Amino acid sequence: MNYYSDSSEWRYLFKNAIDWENIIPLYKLAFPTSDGFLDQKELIQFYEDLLTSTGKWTGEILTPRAKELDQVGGGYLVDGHVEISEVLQKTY
Amino acid sequence: MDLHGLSLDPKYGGMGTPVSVGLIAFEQISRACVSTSSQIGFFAPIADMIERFCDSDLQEKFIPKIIKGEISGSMCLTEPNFGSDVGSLRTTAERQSNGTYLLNGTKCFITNAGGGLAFILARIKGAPEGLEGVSLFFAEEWLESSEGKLHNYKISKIEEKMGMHGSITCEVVYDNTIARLVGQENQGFGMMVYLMNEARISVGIQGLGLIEASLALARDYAENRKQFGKYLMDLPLYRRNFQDWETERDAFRVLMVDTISFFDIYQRLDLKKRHTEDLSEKEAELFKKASQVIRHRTPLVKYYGAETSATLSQKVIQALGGYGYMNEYSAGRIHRDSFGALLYEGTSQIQALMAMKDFIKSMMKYPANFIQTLVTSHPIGSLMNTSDFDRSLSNVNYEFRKNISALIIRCFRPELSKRVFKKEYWQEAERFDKIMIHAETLCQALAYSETLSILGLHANKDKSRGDLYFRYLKLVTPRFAQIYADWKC
Repeated sequence: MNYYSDSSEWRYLFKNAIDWENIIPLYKLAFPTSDGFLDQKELIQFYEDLLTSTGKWTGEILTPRAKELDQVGGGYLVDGHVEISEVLQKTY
Repeated sequence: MDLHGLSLDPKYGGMGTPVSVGLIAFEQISRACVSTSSQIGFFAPIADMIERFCDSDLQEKFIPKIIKGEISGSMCLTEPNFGSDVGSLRTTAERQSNGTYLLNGTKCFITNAGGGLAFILARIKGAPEGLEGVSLFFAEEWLESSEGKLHNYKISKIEEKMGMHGSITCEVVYDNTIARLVGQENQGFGMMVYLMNEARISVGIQGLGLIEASLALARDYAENRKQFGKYLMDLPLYRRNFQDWETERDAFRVLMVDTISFFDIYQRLDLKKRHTEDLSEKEAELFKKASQVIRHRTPLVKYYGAETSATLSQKVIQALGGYGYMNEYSAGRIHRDSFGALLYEGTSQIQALMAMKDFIKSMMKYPANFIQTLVTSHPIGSLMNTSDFDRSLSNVNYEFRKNISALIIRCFRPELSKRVFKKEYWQEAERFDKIMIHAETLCQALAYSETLSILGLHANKDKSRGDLYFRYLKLVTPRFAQIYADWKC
């Protein structure tokens, strides 16, 4: 399950409902960028690729951890500080 | 997965993507596990606070560590006897000769207090009572000494909650905690409001994640389980309910994504303004518009996301029948987890009061304009509109204005001939008590109207989006009727 690429709504809104025309110039002053993006289209495609990766990771790796995290908790108290549980630590 | 640095500056090791990208990834995390999203939510936003408000030595020391996932932070506002009433806090700060401060007091219900860093609200001894005497401090959990690491503050308790077990909610004790002042003395609340706005938008996003998680679970179940010889999804009542739930999910997602887009502009330009005080004319215009939208939307998305996720996650338990009640399925956990969003960063009722305050404030700034708009917004004027969506929206907006005006007139009882156009009349505080009982229904009406407006804009640009506009209009029309009936009581 990919929480980004499996959702036509998310793909549509990412491309059409975010004001990229005004947002991109606030982050990238000119093209090509120092990190090698030739134009805005290529940069937006890169952001979309990133969300496809996070969508796959959240759908396939993080979701199955939720039940265990609910059972064991996020951490426990040791001498006035918090030790993070093993299952939460995996996500950090 | 290197998530913490997604939207943080590359000079600290981040990827430097727009905040919109980071917030959509945050939504995905919330859908997977809202507890985890609460914990993750105290990495990048803490780095952002350090970058926005702290000195460069703290930025260089901590932001790279946050990006690597080695340290995180917390926002410490609530005290055992003071929650929403932040101005009454009792944690004290005393200035030392070296310029640092000693903090003393207790904070409770602090998410991720054991992360290593803390922004803490406290009152400097001798400062005025109320919000105007509140300052913001930054403290590290551990201090280096010749004897090794020493506690600078202690976690005294981890709360046992009904849900969100993976999110660590703590009580913290400050006993001569050494802290640095952030910004100027007595200016803490303004900075905290910045973070609270971001946090409230993030809670709206968590709500969307919870809604998506619930409905995906229910759809999977309904498409695979047969009763009376049919799949559940093919049973008329089941299908109708499901369509309504998915309509609300899709519409709220549109509201949320539009808000994220404005928030990106607001946050990016706010950072530039704070660091350089140099915005171009175009940027200044963009910033003004984005600030207005974010101020208006923040309580609406927090309220709408939290309330809808709690309601729909309960409906999903029912949609799964007996299985929904069993721990084998995650419907119960998702519903338990949904209660957090109703409470933290200000309860739904606090959001409703904020939305009402803002609405009344903007109205009383120019009362004559508001009353005149009622006349000029009559739907007869919309006959010239070529778009179905514009005509429909015009009707919705007119009904809203007509009904809210009737409510205001009933609560405030203005003497129409004498004082109704005078600003001072609307500023008499005791008149607000009468309208406050309707704050929640006003907040609902504002959220539905705002969502419809964006859906209408989308449909005007792309006809294929018209279906969602009309489905959502059908869903909220009886709700508006109920709200307007409440305003007549």
